[in-house]
Amino acid sequence: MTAWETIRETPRRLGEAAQQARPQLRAIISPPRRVSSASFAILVGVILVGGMVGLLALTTLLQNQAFEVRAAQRAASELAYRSSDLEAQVNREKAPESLGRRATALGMVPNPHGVFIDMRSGEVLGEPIAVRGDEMPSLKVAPQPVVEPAAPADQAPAEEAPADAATVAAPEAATDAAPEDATPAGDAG
Amino acid sequence: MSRPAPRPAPTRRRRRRKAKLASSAFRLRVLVLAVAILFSVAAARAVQIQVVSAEAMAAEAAAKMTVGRDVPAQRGTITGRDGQVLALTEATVNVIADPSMIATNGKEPEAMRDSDRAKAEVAPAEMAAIIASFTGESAEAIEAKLRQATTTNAKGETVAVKYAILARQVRSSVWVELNAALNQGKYVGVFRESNPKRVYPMGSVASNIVGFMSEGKGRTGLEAAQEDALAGTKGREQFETSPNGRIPLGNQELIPAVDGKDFQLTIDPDLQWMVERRLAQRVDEVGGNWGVVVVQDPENGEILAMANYPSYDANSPGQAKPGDTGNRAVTAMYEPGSVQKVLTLAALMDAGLTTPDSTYRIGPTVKVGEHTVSDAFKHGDIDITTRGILVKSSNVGAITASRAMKPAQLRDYMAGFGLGQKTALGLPGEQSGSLPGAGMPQFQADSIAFGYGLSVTSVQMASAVSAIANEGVYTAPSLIKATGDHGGALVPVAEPETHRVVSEEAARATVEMMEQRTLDSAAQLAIPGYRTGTKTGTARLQAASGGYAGQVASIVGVAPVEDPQLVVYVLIARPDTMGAGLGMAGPVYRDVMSLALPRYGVQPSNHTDQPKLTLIKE
Repeated sequence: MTAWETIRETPRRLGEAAQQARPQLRAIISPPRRVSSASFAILVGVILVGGMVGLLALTTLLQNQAFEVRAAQRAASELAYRSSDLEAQVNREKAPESLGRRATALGMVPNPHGVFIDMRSGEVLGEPIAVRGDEMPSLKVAPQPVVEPAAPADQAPAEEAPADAATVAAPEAATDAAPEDATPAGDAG
Repeated sequence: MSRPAPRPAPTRRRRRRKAKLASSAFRLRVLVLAVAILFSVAAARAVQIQVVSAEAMAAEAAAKMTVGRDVPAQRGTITGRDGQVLALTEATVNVIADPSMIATNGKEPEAMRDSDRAKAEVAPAEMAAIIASFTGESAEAIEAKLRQATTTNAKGETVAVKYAILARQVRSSVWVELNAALNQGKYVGVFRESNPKRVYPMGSVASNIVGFMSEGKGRTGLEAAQEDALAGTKGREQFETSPNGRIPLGNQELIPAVDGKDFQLTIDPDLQWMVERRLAQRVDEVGGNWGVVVVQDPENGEILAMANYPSYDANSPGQAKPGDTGNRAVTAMYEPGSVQKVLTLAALMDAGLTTPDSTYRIGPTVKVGEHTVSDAFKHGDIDITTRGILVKSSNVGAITASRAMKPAQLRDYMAGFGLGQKTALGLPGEQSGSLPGAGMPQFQADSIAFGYGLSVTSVQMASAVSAIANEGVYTAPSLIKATGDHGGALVPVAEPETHRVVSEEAARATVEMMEQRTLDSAAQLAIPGYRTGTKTGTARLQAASGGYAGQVASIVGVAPVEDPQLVVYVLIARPDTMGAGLGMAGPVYRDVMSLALPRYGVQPSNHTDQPKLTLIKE
């Protein structure tokens, strides 16, 4: 074989060899079609709208929660007000002046001669003395004129003024004061 | 190389120019140019804002968005020893209005409808009627405030009125009801602002101790003396806002307020009330100027009651007379008079210079410096026992007995009893009184022996006698029992200072001599079922301008004698020299002690039939 023939035959031989080694052809999946501009615009629009709706929902949720918090805070402060007011009322009611007034209204009288009872033996410790009721006229409290509950002025009750004048009746004052005043002032220092 | 295009004909060139203006490429260039200019301006502005004046702009923006307000601290509460409230802060509110809002029914002026205008026209009158019915204020005055939607400022401009106070310090429950009524009528423009009110539920009880507040600060009593501790420290809250209100997730900063401290006193409010009323009645009966009662537990120095008369209602201090808002138990100084003999004789017995049965030969008078001192009871030369000196309140005897002791030593004893030293109760204006120095001349020591030449306060005197009742151990008086964070647990304050002044034997002997004083005036002073010891006293009252102005009558009592649990000291001042300790102050002492003994569970004495012992030897 001449060189020329060799050169001429070589491709053919190579082709045959290649043909023998080449695998069978297979179908391949064609690449997806490019999304059209309109579809892309719709997609972006949907995302945008979705985002806005989501943001709106979130904002609304937060606002609602803020409103709820505010309402709860208002309720809490009103309840605190109520509690403070009731506490103040209790304090006023249990003040000694108020209790003294109620006791006087019930007909109770102060007893300066307290005695003790031994619960184990039933023995009375001390000297039981019947109370006349006029021993301590200063502890009797005259009823107070009713004050409008809504008026803030009732926080400053006029306590002392009418009490003594009304309660310290003449006979009571006399029994207490007379012996003392009659005592000779003999201990001058 | 392409060849140059042939020049078009003039007519054709005009047509082409027209076509260039309409061409999309040209329009695009113009648009790009416009956008470029726009963005350049925006960028320049951005650079100006972000770089050139970034800090100032950021600060301005933050300031516009950020709202700050003080967070008030809750003022501490003052209670009695049993927890009863003497002073507390009530959550009252000011009712305020935005008249400009009412004038537009809450709408923007341009958005108002006819129905809004009709509502805005009648709302002030209707709202005023509702508000007046709840607050007690005048409906006319409220309506006038609600209708004043505009005003003229200093520059003569008409501006909207957005704030008007309709009622001050309205009780919180009243506001809740008022607000509900306004909401029901769909009225707008009325709000509340917090304005707490200091209230004293017991009115005049212990008002001279607790004090009162004015313009947000304590003016007298503990309210003034403990102002810093009671007031606490206000906090600060900052948050970002938008026109719709607070931005939920915006920047927020909160410096919490530190509430004031709570104080628990040693005062028993119920006993305090009883004592105050009894004292008031007696001072009025005898025409006294003023009076003081101190009830003290001698074992721990705690003051159970400290009554003043005249007093005042802490809720309306403006009605008090000047001088009555203080506390005379710690501020009024006076010569103690014969009550002092208790201390003198206790000192003499402790020093071993006398006994209750020691006898002194005394005449009707004794020379003290250039003055002659006599006794209140007439006598010639007599042999009087130490017990007799106390019971009969012999000035001559007290001077004679005390001359056995050097003036400096007598002074040391008196200082040991707390005289001449300021008490530390925590009240404003506590006085130390006066006690002459150790180098005092004999005539001054003679004066001290029977209660002159020195000055004391009522609390000092009660505490001095308490030392004798407490087996000779002085315990500094105290008024504050415990303190702690507001609403939290209370912690007892430090134990008061104590020291022995006289021996147990001397103290007991003194108390038993005081019992003889009670037996000597049993009809006036004895308390059925209890052994009690007393000592009365009367002394001229020094005037602020010098000289004397009236006198003070006093009595001190301890009970029961076998183990003293209570000391009661009563002092009544009057403008003249009428009466004495027994007649003036005795009835108050007896009643107060009678109430206090069973109140604190002090059981009656076993042997009340004590014999009268020798006072004067015939």
